Amino acid sequence: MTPIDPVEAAAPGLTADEPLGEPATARAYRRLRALPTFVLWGLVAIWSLPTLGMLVSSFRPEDEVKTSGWWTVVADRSLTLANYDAVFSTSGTDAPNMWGHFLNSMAITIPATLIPLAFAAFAAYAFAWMDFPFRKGIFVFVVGLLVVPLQMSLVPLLQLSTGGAHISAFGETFTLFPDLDLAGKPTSVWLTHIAFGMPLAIFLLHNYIAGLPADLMEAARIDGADHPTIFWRLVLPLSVPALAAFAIFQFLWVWNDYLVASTFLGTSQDAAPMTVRLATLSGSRGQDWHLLTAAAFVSIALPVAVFFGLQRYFVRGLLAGSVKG
Amino acid sequence: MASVTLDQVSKQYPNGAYGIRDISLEVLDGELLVLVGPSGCGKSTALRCVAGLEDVTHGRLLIGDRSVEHLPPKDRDIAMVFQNYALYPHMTVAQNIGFALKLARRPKAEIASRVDEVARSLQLEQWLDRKPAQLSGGQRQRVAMGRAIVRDPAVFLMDEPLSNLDAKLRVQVRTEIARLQRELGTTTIYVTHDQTEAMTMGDRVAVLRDGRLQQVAPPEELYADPDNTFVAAFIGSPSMSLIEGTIVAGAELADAGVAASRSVAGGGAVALGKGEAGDLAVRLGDQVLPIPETVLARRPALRGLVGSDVVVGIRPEDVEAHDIGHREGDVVAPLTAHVELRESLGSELLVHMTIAARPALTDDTRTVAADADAHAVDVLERQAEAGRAAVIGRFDPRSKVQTGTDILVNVRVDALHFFDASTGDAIRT
Repeated sequence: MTPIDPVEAAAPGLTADEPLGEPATARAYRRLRALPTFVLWGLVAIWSLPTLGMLVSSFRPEDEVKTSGWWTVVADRSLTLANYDAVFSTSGTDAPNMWGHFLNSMAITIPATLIPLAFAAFAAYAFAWMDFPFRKGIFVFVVGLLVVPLQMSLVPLLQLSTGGAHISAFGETFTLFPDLDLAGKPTSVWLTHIAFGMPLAIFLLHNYIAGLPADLMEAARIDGADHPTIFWRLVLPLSVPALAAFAIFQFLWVWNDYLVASTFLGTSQDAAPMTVRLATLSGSRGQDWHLLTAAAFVSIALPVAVFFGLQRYFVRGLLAGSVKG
Repeated sequence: MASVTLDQVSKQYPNGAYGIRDISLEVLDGELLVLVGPSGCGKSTALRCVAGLEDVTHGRLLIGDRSVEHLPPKDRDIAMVFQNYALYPHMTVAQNIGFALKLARRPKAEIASRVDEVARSLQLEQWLDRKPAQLSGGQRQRVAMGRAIVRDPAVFLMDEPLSNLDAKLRVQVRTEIARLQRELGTTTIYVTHDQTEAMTMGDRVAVLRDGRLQQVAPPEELYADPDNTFVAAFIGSPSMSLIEGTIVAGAELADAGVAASRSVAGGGAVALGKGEAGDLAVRLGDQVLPIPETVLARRPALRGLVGSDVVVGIRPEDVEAHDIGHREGDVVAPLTAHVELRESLGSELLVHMTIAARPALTDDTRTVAADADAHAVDVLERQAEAGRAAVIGRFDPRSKVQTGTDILVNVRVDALHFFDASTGDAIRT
């Protein structure tokens, strides 16, 4: 190997003190790590304060919540689970019924996470390791769909799911998209989430899968594997970090989504996910906001669990493409 | 077990460049053929064409007597060992080795027994349940070999399998691979850029350059009788010294007061007999070396080149200090050289000298220099400009030569090589 002269390899403009060729992220990390620990802990404390306040409030009786601040719980220690009971109750016309809405959220989020994952894994492998006509063009088009704003397509999508798409031309009506009668059903919500999650999924997974070593695929080919075998036995097991990373992103995004859910399900209280119900939980005059504190924590229970469960893939997923199996 | 035949095989890329060009080669059944050459010469491309990982744009490829250019890799009955091993990281060693058998849907018991057998022959039994990340480089390399061996293919293809190992391990594993290949008797094509590996392992060695085959021969023949200056400079470490010279009539020797002599036992030398001393000599700058009859018999074309320029090649072991005698029977002649550098290796002394002659500066010598070191080409060009050619000598370690002095050396003139000055081809008939 030709020896590299270290003087020639230094980037111009760097002084002798600075490390050569340090990427911006490493520089940022260096400066962050230089901050004293107590400063960072202070920041953490300040940031967590509102959440802590909410948590305390959720355990306080209704009238105390409405009359005194949560910090007074230090002196007057009356805690109760009444708020949580109320939040899960199904009696009454305006019942919070958090459990029902929790299940609705799951019914929307799980398909919206798993289906793009499956399709995008196949697509990403094909774009990365198979050769077919217009491969590059199709890939650019699919990833380019990332640009389409969600908000702009809400009304057309609503029309599509409630009435289908038809064109009247030459005296005939052509059906571009059949009327599936999805009004007020969670199906319309997760179909939309799948559509908007797909470009990102394909982009992230392609980045990662294309980075797998080529000679691994070649060794498998010589061993007698064809594309499906390579995909199932080699690429999928090695792509778990990228799949988990995308799963987290998509799960959190869909679980916390309010806009799409309220657009498609706003009128139907039965099918509404937790985000939509939370919006109206505090009552028409904001009188029931003690329920809001408890409901909020019920709604974050699952995402927090998912996050901590797949946490180690989260950071790796952010760097997807620079990580190899 | 099968032979491999490449018949005018070329691979051309869409932009018109050739990876390999008109390669015709036959690898005999059971032979270990080494493909060697500088970086970018096409040796890996040739191997990948045989494997089926690259398409052949022209020519025929046969394994045994089957034409395989249109077959996918898995149908060619080959197994490959990659430079980076390409082990499946999420599978254990046992699963890695048995993967091909599993894909072929062999019974579980058969897979287990064959994996065990291979693991035993490679001393991997205790590592069968580990993942590749938990193994050392040498162990991973053995797993890669095991994965190839277990398939019992007709041909092994090895793409620089030792280049990721450290020097000491390389020597050890090199002998293991050679022993294994001999035991199994499987035809093997082995790619390397390290010519020491090529010389020690190959039954025959094929030297490639810029996609073309230069010479295929057993290592000794390649070393002793290279077909052109490229092969001459590439094979042998340290390199053969290639110097510009002119063929002159033997009379010039007398003018210069130089004569060839034959070494005798116990040191000293005797003058050559009438028939042994040739009537030709070669002028290197301001000095002349005789060309003995034995050389003229092997290279009769030299007689027709009196007055023409040639390239003279001298191997380091054919240069020795004047005071320490050569082996009995060698025909030697003196040469004066300036010592630039001494490299003491303990077992021998490499002395870098210069003489007042021009080094051969051709495409071939430039390519070989560039392959070794980025600065070597500059050094060569400066030497050419200054009119001082480098001559490297392998001296007895007891020699007391000093740097910066002019010394007298004995050159084995019956081992001189001669090449055409313009084409670089060896001058023979």
